[in-house]
Amino acid sequence: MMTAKTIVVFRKELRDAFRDRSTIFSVLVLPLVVYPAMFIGMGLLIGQQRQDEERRTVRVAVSGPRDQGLLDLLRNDPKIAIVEPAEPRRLLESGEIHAALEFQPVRADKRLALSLLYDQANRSSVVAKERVAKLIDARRHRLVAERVMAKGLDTLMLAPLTAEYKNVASARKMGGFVMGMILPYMIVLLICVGAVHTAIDITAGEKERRTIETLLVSDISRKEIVVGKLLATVTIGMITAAMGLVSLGLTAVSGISILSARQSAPISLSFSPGAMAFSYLTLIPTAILLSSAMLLIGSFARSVREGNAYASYFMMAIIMLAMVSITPMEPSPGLFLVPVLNTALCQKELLMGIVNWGHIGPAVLTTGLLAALAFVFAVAFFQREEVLFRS
Amino acid sequence: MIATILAPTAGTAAVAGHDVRTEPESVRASIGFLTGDTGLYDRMTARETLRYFGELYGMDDDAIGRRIDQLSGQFGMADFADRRVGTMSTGMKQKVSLARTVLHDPPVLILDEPTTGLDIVTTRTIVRFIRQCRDQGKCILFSTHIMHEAETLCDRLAFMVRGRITENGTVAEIKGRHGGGDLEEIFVGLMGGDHDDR
Repeated sequence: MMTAKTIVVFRKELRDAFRDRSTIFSVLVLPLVVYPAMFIGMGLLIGQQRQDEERRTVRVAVSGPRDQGLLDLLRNDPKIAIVEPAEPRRLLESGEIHAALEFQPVRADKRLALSLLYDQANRSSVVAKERVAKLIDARRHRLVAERVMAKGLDTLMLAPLTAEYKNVASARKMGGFVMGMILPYMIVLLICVGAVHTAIDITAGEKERRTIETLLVSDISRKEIVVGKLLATVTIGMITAAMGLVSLGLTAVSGISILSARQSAPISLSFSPGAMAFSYLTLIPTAILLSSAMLLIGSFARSVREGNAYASYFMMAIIMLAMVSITPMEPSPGLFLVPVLNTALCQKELLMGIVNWGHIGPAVLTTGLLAALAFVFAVAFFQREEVLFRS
Repeated sequence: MIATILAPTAGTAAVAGHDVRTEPESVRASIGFLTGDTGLYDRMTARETLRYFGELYGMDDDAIGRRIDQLSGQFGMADFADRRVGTMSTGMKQKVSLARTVLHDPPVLILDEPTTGLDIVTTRTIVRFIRQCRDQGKCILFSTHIMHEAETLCDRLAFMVRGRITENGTVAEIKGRHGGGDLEEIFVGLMGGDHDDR
């Protein structure tokens, strides 16, 4: 299958592709610049918003026969401004104040009753509610302690149980976990994005530019042509994936992107080159499958335009499949038989340092089989004149 | 079909002794094929294009290099040999295409209107080269609408009207059968008259 002429076609397609500006964009600019910038931008934005929220002073209206203890707590909080307007509910709805605390008359059983009005649809109001709720809790504990002490009892009896929650995942595993959330999905997407342009360009593009006949009358078999073109497409898809792995990995460790914005535990990425290479190699069957499928689409299409349209529908399906991997779940064995998704799930495990052959085996096998099938179809398509000369 | 791009629905043909159905590879290796549909890759230079096709024809590096130099001299391509095809004029592209067609020195050439749309100088270069190939004893299937080219280049002529060969022979034979005169007039006569409405 791999002949000298296959290599000739492979080398030519690769060189040709890299002279095309759109290939450079999807192989280098997209994974090395656009995606990291996007993730970092989103991370910074969210971080900024969270900081703003913390700094913001919220306005809380108070009404009714107030409890002095709670009022003092509210007054001592520098980020709470107490106001006493006439119509707190109306102001709350219009967003001029963020919460309204209504004290009820103290009951006969000496219970303190109050209601806190807030607007769940308004972020500042939710922040106000959380702050006031914390102070209400503090006040409750204070009251309980006072009553317990008034009875001459030890306040220690109020804490019969203490519990601590400890995350035992190592920084390395946490790193894998953080990366594993979105990285496998991104990598599958990048293989597609990298391969699609070349795949369509060297099939439908050849038809459109009328170079296909020149190639077909040369002394090379159709199968050699398809293998050469497939190799070039797979290579470009895999280069894009490598760029994505490195740049998004670095983006994740940088700690400023959305990829790690929510993590409080320390994370680190310390992959051995061997583990990295292994995880990269497990992508190859998927790259072959996606490339063959896209060559198939390109050989079927009459023009590059038509090819890109079909390819975008195909990519949408692939993206949906890969997206399932983002959901936090314990994947059932059946999922490792679903192409594309199985690769994303295996990547997820490998990133966390888990090598499960019961998962990798079926994944590689099913993907490999489908890849072979797509390849056979692509070769068959290339033999059919009604498909090749439809334009 | 002769170039094995399409498979015949029935029957077969032999090119340089090779059957188009059973030995398509040998047939392709023996043919140089040039039509309006055999385009070139825009992002490759003339030299890269010729080297690529030379490698596909299984030629070795040295042979390809020598042949490129030779053809480049013959067609006056030296000035643009390292220019990308996409930036070339129609005439330059046609020279590169013809060089691509004869690169592997095939015994059979199929040339479909190789001079259409070209300037006079380029046309003369190409016609001169085709005559050389003929004199070297290559078998050339040359299709054209330019009767003057047909008359000066071809040993044997066939007129094709609506997909059928209606006349076939040497220039002298054909002229003899139709009472002499101009080939164009004979052809128009065979078509059934000089009206544009068909």
